[in-house]
Amino acid sequence: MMGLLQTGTGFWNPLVWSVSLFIIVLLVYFIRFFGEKKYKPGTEQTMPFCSGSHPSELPIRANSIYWGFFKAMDKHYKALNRIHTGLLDDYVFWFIIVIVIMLTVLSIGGL
Amino acid sequence: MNLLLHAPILAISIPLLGGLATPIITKFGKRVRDSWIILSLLFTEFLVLILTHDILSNGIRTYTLGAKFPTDTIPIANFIPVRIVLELDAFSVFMAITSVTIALIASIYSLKFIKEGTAKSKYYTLLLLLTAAMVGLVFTGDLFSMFVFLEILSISSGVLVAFYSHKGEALEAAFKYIVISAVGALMILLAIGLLYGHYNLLNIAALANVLKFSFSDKVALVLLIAAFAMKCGAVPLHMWVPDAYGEAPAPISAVLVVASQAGLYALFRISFTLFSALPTIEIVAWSVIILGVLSMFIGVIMAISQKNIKRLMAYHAISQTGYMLLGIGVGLAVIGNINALNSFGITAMEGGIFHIINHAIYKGLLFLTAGAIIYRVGTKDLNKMGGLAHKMPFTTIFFLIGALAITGLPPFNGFASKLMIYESVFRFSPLLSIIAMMVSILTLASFVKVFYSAFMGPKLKEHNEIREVPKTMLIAMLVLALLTLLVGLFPDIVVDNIISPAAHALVDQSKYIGGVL
Repeated sequence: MMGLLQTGTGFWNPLVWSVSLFIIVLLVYFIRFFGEKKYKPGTEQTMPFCSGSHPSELPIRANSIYWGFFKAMDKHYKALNRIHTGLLDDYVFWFIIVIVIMLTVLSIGGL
Repeated sequence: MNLLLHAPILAISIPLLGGLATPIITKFGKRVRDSWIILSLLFTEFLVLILTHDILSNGIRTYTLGAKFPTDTIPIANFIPVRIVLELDAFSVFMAITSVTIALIASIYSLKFIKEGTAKSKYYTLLLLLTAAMVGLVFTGDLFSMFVFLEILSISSGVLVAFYSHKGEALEAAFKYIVISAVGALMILLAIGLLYGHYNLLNIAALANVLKFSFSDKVALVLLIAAFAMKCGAVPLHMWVPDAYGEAPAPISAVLVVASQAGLYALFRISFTLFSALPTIEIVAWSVIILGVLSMFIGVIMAISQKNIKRLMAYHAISQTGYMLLGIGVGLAVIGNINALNSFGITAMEGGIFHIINHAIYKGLLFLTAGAIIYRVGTKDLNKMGGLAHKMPFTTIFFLIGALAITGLPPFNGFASKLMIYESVFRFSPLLSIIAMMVSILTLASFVKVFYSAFMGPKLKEHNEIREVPKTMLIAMLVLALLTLLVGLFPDIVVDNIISPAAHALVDQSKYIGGVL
């Protein structure tokens, strides 16, 4: 069958998926006609919702996106940033560390 | 002249000589130069395609330099292959197609992206040298030539990273890249020396036939794996990647993705063809898997916090490399267990190899869209962007296609390869599969951030003059966007015709040895 990809334990057919998605979109569009039509365009009813911010505060800059996630993960990011020093010495240091670890493991494993 | 017979060496020498002749060709005019570049790469692509067709139909092809007949790998007076031998199997040509296609598209994009009067001829010379190095690296059948091609690759790409030499950051990134590449190359040379001193051989097939797996062989293996893992940007050897990808011109960042994948090729060639019979190969495989998991996870965690669009994408490149290492590492881990290999190992490898070409396509596309933004807005800072969808609608659509593909959403190409990796790796270790899925979710979150901050929102006053990028840049992005969609819609054609033969070629060590001996 065209587009059928065997994944070892199952299969994936993107063509069937795409046709199904198209039918679902049509259905959703059809159902949308039954929706409430009494809204007033140009009022707050049709304003974009953006996490409670007023549209005049848009655009929301990259710095503000996921701020809660970064605040919660602050400690972990500090630890990661400590490794990413940007110093060439550290690049070579990690290179040597990997060689030493792999050599040690391979030597012990080969005994 | 029999074109097919000499195609292996022509596929290396056409971009090499094409690149070296570019400064002279430039004297005849810019249009002649541009045509020369595109034709050189188109001809290389044609050569790689006819080679692919031949190898998939007739099996391994060898080419011996200096021999009376290029197919004579062993001189009559000797019993070992002493000359430089190119050995091409399905995995080699798969990598060559990926490299040359991206280089060709990047060169079309560069026609307008790189402004005249900014050493454009030298830029193209280096781009063609880089292409020759990538093709040479994946075609060569001996270790020393591999080292030489890797050096050409590192030097040409290092200079391209420093292309914007008026910026201190670009020079710093190039310096770091060249130094760390030189350290890696030194380790490779040391490993080659260890193997040559022990066996008096440089040919990979001949070495694989006699390898005794002594302690010095293991030292050589570790040095080679570490150096090539650094070259492909695996964590914790990845730190040069955001510097180099971030500062290079955008089309070069796209080519650097495939240049890093050439390092990945070397890593897999060494692990499978040379050392797959090593009694402790499972330890090596687990090292590759751990490097893969670290790359996936740390890559995406670092990416999500970036404010520089190109550094963000560079960290994603690291993360995606992790998927390839994971898939192929699982194949290596079960190489001694024929039941597990047939049951899920080969599928994991196919997933990993499929992800190589998918990543080259969608990450190439994403870097080109980043380049389009930088070309018009003049900044890489996401905080200074917004509302670009109003002004650059085509770039927005192309970015969206690339972003959906990298996050692994159907029906784009990234989903197909990731699904193969998830399902097969789950049978090896459910935890690894779950980590891979979680990384995809974080990737989605990261690209939602980029899409929202760069393209969504109202028009900004400071972007009043911004308009869509020139046509050649749009065409290059369109080709990659179409490939992303088509490979996603018809993954079976790609997997059956080039991915599966590549995975089987990698596993079948005896066929590779038999190609030369």
